[in-house]
Amino acid sequence: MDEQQLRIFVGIIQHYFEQETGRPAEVGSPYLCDPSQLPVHDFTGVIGISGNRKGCVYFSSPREILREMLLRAGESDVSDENLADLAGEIANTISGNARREFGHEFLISVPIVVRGTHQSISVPRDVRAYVIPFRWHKVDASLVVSVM
Amino acid sequence: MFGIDLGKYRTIVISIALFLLFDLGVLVLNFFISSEIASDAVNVNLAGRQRMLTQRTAKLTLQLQNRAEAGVPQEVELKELIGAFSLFDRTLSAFESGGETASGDGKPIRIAAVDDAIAQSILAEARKLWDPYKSRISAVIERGRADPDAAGALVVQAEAANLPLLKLMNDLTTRVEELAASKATLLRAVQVAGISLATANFLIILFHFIRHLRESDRELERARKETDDILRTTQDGLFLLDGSAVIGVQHSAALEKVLGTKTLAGRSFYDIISPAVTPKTLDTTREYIDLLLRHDVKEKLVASLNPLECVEVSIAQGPGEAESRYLQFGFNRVFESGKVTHLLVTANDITRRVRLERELKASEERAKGQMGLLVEILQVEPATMNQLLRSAQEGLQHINRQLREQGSAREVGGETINAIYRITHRIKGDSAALGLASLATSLHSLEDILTGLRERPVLSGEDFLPVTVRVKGLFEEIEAMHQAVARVAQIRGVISVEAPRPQHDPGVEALPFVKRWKDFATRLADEHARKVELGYHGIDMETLPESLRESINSMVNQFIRNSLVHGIEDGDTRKRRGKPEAGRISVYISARDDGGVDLSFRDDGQGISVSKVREAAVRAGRLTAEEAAAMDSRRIVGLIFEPGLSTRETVDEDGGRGAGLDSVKALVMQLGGQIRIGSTPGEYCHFRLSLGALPSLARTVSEDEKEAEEAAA
Amino acid sequence: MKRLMIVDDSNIIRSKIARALGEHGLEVVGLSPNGEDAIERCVSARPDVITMDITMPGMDGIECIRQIRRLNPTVRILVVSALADKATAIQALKEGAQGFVCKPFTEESLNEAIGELFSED
Repeated sequence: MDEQQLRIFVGIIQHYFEQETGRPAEVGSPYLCDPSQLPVHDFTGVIGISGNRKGCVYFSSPREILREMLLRAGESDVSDENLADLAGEIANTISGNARREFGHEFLISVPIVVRGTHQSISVPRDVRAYVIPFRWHKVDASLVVSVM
Repeated sequence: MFGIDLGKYRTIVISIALFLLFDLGVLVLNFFISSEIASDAVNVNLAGRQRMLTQRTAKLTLQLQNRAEAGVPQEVELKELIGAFSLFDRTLSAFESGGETASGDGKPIRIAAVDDAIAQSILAEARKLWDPYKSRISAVIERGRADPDAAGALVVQAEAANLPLLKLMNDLTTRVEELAASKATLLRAVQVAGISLATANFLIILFHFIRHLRESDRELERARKETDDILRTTQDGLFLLDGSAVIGVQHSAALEKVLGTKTLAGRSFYDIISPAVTPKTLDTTREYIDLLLRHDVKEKLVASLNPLECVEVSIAQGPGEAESRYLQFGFNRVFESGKVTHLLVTANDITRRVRLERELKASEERAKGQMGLLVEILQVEPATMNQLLRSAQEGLQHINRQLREQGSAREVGGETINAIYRITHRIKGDSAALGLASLATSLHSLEDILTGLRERPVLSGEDFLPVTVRVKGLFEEIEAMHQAVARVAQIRGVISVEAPRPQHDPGVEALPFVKRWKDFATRLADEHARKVELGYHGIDMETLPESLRESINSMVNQFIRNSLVHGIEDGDTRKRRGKPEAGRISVYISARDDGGVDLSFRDDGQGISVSKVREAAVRAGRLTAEEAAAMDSRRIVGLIFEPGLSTRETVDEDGGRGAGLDSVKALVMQLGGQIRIGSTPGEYCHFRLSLGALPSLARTVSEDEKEAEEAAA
Repeated sequence: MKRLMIVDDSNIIRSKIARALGEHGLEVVGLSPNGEDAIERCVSARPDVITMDITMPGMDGIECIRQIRRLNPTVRILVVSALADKATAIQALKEGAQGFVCKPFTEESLNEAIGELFSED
C-alpha cells in the first residue's frame, strides 16, 4: 500500500470526524508496528481487503470517543450496543468511501465490529502494519493498515 | 411479381389468387345462366298460353256460329275472339323472330326469338296451319259480324286446324321446357366444376404447404436444438447485445456463472457491469460499444481498445472477506444485410490466467532484484555485511521509535526530523562504503523527503506518512538482503568462494611468538575455567621491523585477554550454543604490497553485546542514558576502544578496569591504520586491523566511506 | 503517389514520421506543428493521408480531426500519439480517424498502420 492509498484512508477518517462532529481529528505521525503489538481499543471496525494484496484495515477507538460522538449527535443512549453500532458505522463509511476511491484496485469487504481488547483481530502475520494515531477530544484512537 | 419480392410466400399467393379466380368465374357463369333460365321460364309460360289460346279460339268460333244461326247479337263473342286471336298471333311472331307480346297480367313483354332449330321447325309448321285460319278470322272480324255461312266456313277451318295446332303448341311447350332444363343442368355442371377446382386447389395448398411447413419446422427445431446444445455446453459466457446494449433473450448457461447473476435477459449490459468497474471504465465501455455499433471502423483496429479486456470484480464471501475475480469480455459485430445489428459478446473468467501471469511477473522481478542484490552482497565480506545490516535495522527501529513516540501530537518538532535524518545519513554512508548501491539509493530518497520536511514551517503527523512508508520499504529491503546473505553463507559453506588463503604451513604454529600466544591463551583459559585453542596462519613475524613486531604482539595479547574475559563462554554455555567445548581463536597476519600489515583476530565466543557496552558507557559516565539510547550500535561497539570502559561489572586483573582495548587503539593510531570490528552476538567477534596504512590510501576514500570508517575507528 | 501531411508539435517526431513514411512511397506535402495550422494547410496541401498527434498546444488532435473531416471527408487520418487511455482512441475513431499508432512507435508499425488505412477489409 503506497502513500497515496494510506492518505485516502486518513482523509476518509478526517472527513468523517469533521462532518459528524464539526471538529477534525488530529493526525499523529504514522509508525510501523509488529502484528503482535498492534493497538486495539474498546471498539474496532475491521475491513477485509483482497485482490492483489490481502490484509485488513481497522479503526479502533476507545469508548470515550464513541460516547462523546453519540452525545454530540443528540443520542443519549450510550450503551455498548450503540457504541458498537457507531464503530460499525465508521467502518462502513471507511469501506464505502474507500471503495469509491480505489475502484477495483482493492477489493474491500463488508466491515465487522470487534468489541474489547481481548478478542484478536486477524491481521497478516510477518507484515509490519502501519499505525496512524488519531486524537479527538483528547483521546487517542488508531487506524491500522496491514496489507501484504 | 408486382415488383414485390414475395420470397417463400410466392406459391401461396398464386394459389389463393387462383382460388379467387375460380370462384369469380363460377359466379359470372352462374349469373349469366340464371338470367337465361329466367327468360326460358317466361317462354314456357307463353308457350303454355298459346296452347290454351288455340282451344279458346276454336271454342269461340263455335259460339259465333251458334249466335249467327240463331240470329242473336254476337258482339261479345266477336270481341273475345279478336283478343284471343291477336294475342296468339303476336306471341307466335315473337317466338319466331323476337318481338313484343303481353305477359300473363296483360303487361307488354319483350322476348327474343327462340334460338333452337326444333322449336323453329315446330313454329314454321304452326305458321302454315295458322295463316289460312288467321285470314278467315280476319275476314269475319273486318266485316264486324258473321253470317251463318261465313261462321260455318270458319268452324270448318277451325275444326281442321285446331287439333294439329294444339299438338304443335304442346310440342313447343315441351321443347321450351327441355331447353330450360338443359341450361339448369349446365349451371349445375359449372358450379360443380368450379367447386371441384377450388377444392383441388385447396388440397394442393394444404398438401404442398403443410409438407413445406413441416420441413422448415423440423429444420428450425434442429437449428434450435443445436443452438441450445452450444449455449448449454460452452464454457464461454455468450450473449447478444442489441443496438441499445440490452442483453438478448438467449445466452449460454456459463454466462450466469461467469457474471454471478441469474436474471440477464432483457437487462442493460451497463447495469450489469457498472458495480464492477470504475465510472470511467463504464463511460469508455459505452463509447466503445457505440463505436462498434454505429461507426464504420475496422473491427481489428478497435479490438485493442476494448476497455473490458480484464475487469476485476469483487465477489462477497461473507463479512470481512471478499474474493476477487478477473473477467474478460470480447465483442464481435453481427451483420445483417451489411449492417451491424447486434454485438456478440463473450465473457470469460480469466482469474487463473491473470493470477499466474502476475505470479510469474512478480517472481521474475524478485529474481532480477535478488540477482542484483546478490552481486552487491557477494562483493562484501559476510561479517561486515551482517554488521551493516544489523546496524541499519537498529537504525530503522530507532527511527520508528521516534515516529511512534510523537504519538498523536499535532505539531512535530524539527528535532525529530533531525534525529531521523542523522540515522538515515549514517546508514546511507555505511551502505555506500560497502558498495550497496540499491540500499544507498533507497536511503537517499528518504533523505530527500526529510530535507523537504525540514523546510516546512509547521508539520503535522500526516506529513510523516511518506517517511513511514519508506521506512517500511527499507525494513523489507534489509530483510531481503539478510536472506540473501544467509543464502550466500550457505553457498560459501559448501564451496569456498573466499579469497584463497596462503598455503597453511604447519611450521608457523611452532614459531616462538605463536608459542607464546598459545601459552598465554591457555593460561588465561585455565584461570577463567575455559578451554581454548589458538591457531595461527600467516607470515613469520621475524620478517617485520622490530617496532611493528612489538606492537602487533602487544595488540594480539590484548585481544587474547579480551577474548578470554569477555568472549569465550564456559563449556556448558558453549555446548548449549552448539559450539565445540574449546573456544577457537584464529590469528592471521599478512603483509601487504604497500609495506603495511593486516592483522585479523577472531574468536568464536559470545560476541560484543551492544546493550552491555551501552550500559557500561552510561555507568562510566561517558554518555547520558539519552545519548546512549540515541547512539547507533556501530558507534556503541566503537566505544570498547575508549579508555575507562568495561562491560565487566567487577574489576579484576584481566579485565574490568576498562583499559586494554584502548591501548590497541592508541597503537593503531600511532602506526597509522584502521580498525574494523565484526561481531554477531552469540557467534563470534572479529577484529581486523590494517596497520601502516599508507596516507595516500586514506586520502582516496570517499567522504561517505570516511564516515563509515570513523564509526569504527 | 499518396500525399502525406504530418501534424505533431514535436519537430523530432515530425521528421521521424516523414523519414519513415517518405521512404515507403508517400510524398510529404505538409508539416504542421499544431491543429490550427493543420486546418489551414489542409486545404492547399490536399493530402490523402494525415498523421495526427492528440496532445498539442492550442487545439487538440480530436478537435482538429473533427474540423478536417468537415473540410475533406475523404482524407484518411492516422492518429500517432502517446494516447494514455483507450477512451481517447475511441474518441478519435468516432470523430473520423481510421487508425492509431501509439508512441513510441517503430517505422514498421507506422508503415503497417498506413497500409491498414488503405486496405479494403
